[in-house]
Amino acid sequence: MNIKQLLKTFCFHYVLIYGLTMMASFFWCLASGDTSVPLGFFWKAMIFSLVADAPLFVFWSKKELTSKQTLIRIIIHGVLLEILLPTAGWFIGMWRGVGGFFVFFATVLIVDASIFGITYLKTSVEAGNINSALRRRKCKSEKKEEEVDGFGEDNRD
Amino acid sequence: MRIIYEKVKEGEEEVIIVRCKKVTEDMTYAARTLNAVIGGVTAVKDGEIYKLPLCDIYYFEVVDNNSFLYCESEVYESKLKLYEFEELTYGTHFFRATKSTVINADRIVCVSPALYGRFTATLDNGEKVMVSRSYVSSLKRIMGL
Repeated sequence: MNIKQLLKTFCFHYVLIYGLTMMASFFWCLASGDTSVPLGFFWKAMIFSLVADAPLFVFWSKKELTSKQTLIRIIIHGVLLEILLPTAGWFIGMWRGVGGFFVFFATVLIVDASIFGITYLKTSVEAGNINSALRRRKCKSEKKEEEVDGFGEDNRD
Repeated sequence: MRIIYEKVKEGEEEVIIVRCKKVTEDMTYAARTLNAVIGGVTAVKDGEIYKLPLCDIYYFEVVDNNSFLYCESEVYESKLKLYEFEELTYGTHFFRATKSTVINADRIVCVSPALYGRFTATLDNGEKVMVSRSYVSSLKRIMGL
């Protein structure tokens, strides 16, 4: 990914992560019966979102990454998330204790794996559509070859 | 508009004649593209110069500032830069696939999903080439999607 593309993705992800963090906090407050959220939490959530988004820069590369390089960077990205997010989460009071850590760790893992899975699924659907179009195109070009076989006039527009 | 094909004798030069009331930009563009498709691209292999028709080129790649043209089984060197090849093939079925490659969509047999939203395109000679997430829209446009 080049820097322009990366910054675009970074901004989009930032808005998405911040929105999801605030939504999760809202539902957590509803579930726990605590209806008050300190004003500072909004700033903390912004910083938390920034930390969650920062590992995206491991995908920055001037050259096109090979499949192996991409896989390595996906793993590094996952490891960085599991180090940075629980740390940031602890500082803003998202979890406490060993149990809280494991729940938080598992949540990060599930969300990361889900995003990976959804991206792969989306790519598979897109690949399926392209393959159908390729097949249609092949049939069309075979028909054309049969029609325009030799010299003369072609009256098609 | 009618399209007329005329057979020329062996050894005679092939000519594109456009009979029209007014020469428009579209016409010069179409003639230029036709010339590139049929006339082909100059390439070098083992010190010999070849003229390759576009339909024979599977993909164009730049590796360490050197350009290469990949055909069914042969690889040729080219003096063209990536953007020059892109300009030359503009309007044809060639599309930018990654930062360093331009692929002939006519040679793609199928595409399969790869990691991180990318695609692997299998060409009709069995070779597999990468299509980056940011350039897949060009392939979809060619496919009419």
